[in-house]
Amino acid sequence: MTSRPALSQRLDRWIHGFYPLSLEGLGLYRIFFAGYVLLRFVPSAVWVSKFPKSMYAPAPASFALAFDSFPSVWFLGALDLFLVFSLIALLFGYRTRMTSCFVTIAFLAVNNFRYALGKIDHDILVVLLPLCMAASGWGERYSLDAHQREVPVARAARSWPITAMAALLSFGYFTAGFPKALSWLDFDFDTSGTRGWVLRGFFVNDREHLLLPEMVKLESPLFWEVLDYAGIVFELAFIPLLARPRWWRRYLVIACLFHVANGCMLNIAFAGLVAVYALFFDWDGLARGLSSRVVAVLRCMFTPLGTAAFATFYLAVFLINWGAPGRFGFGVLPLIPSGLPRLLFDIGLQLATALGLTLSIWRWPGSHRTSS
Amino acid sequence: MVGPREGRWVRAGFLAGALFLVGQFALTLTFREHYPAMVLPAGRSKVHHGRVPTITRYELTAETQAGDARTVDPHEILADVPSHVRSWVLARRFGLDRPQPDPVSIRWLRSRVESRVGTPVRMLRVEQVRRPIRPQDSELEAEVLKTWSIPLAGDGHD
Repeated sequence: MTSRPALSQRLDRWIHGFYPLSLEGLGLYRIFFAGYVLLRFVPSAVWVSKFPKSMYAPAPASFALAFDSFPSVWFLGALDLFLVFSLIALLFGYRTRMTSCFVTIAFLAVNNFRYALGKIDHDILVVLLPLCMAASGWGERYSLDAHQREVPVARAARSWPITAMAALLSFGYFTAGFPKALSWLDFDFDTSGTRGWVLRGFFVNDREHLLLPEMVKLESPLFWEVLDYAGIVFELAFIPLLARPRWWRRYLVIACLFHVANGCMLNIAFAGLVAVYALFFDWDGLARGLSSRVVAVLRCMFTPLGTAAFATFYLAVFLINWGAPGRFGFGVLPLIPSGLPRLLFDIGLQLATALGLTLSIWRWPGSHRTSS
Repeated sequence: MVGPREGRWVRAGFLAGALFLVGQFALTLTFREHYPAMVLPAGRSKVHHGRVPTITRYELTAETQAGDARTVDPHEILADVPSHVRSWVLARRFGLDRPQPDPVSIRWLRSRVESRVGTPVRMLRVEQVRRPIRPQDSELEAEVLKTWSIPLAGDGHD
């Protein structure tokens, strides 16, 4: 007679077996994460320095409360550079554990001042991810750390940070879905929450692209009620699916398609989350599939010379617009005209992520050891 | 796989983290506080299909030194603030709703208003108004929810 494993054993199996990646896979993801954030959008805090003291309203418990007004442009500029250099160091895997913590600290510092006007954006998962992954060993391969070590260190990859990110992402969706459920789940066909978003987006926020103008004309209460409930079910389903890691990963494809649909219907795409979703790509399969030539190129890149070349290129391209009116950060995004081009860019990123996840799950079905 | 000692710490960390997050979220719900949305907005407002959909907006009127009233577009005054942040600044009345407003902030706002109006101003009136969202409903009257005035002459003390 076999006895069921104890609760603590099952919990351990879930924590350490949700989605294990090898050091090679983690190294590739680190490069993707830092590269994606650097190239798409790195926030800047410099632009808030011109606002007066009266508008300074940091959130409760924010470390910005230690200041009584917006800091000077020099202080905020130094913070911006600290963030950019930390991300570049993370990309190249220089003292990766420490750098990962620095990225989160710098992100939090920049955001604390950016959000001191009162509005807090929804990017906390991207901010916390490097801190969480610092313990995973994502700097042990394809990095300056590995390059500089004469004798390779036989460290094992830790997978609990990946489980922690999955749990945080699910909790984040829950905190968005639960308050909506309390209000929208009213079985009253006379009211709709989604329609409110559509009307506000079109008439107030001047969003007018793709399907949004057609959505404004739709009057069917049944259609809007179904959309309300679908949104709530979608956001609340992440938590129960955590018990089934393989299904949870499949559900991420639906999440990307949800963002694509939102991009088309509401003109909001949330492509910052791609950096988090991509953690669940099959990075091990990709690492195994890399040809020796690509590995050699990667090894060449992760030298002090390669790092210096990239840092020079990045600073030359993206610091040109530093602090210019309407530029609220670095990367490609602030250079793309707002409106339809930027929306299509973000929708394209979500579609690419959906494709990447789909290939990860169905192309190499036996390549992962997830417990389902 | 981690060792048994580290495993215990990780397990304890997961349980403590879950307890902290869920507890904090439950507290904010209990006290009807705003919980910062981590992934997506948690907006819970609704529109009624049979009624005219409305939106709360902020409308600014500057009173010139000559006594004229001039409408000011708040988006022009806050052009260098990201568009989704402007209503938050307006809802906080530029932070000038205190008994002793900061003179530097008063001067900052006055220079912005005057550069739009083109003449010296002595007062800025802010109205929080509930208006129909759609242009086809614009003949319906707007409902003024709140009005407040920000004195801009003499650093706000007169």
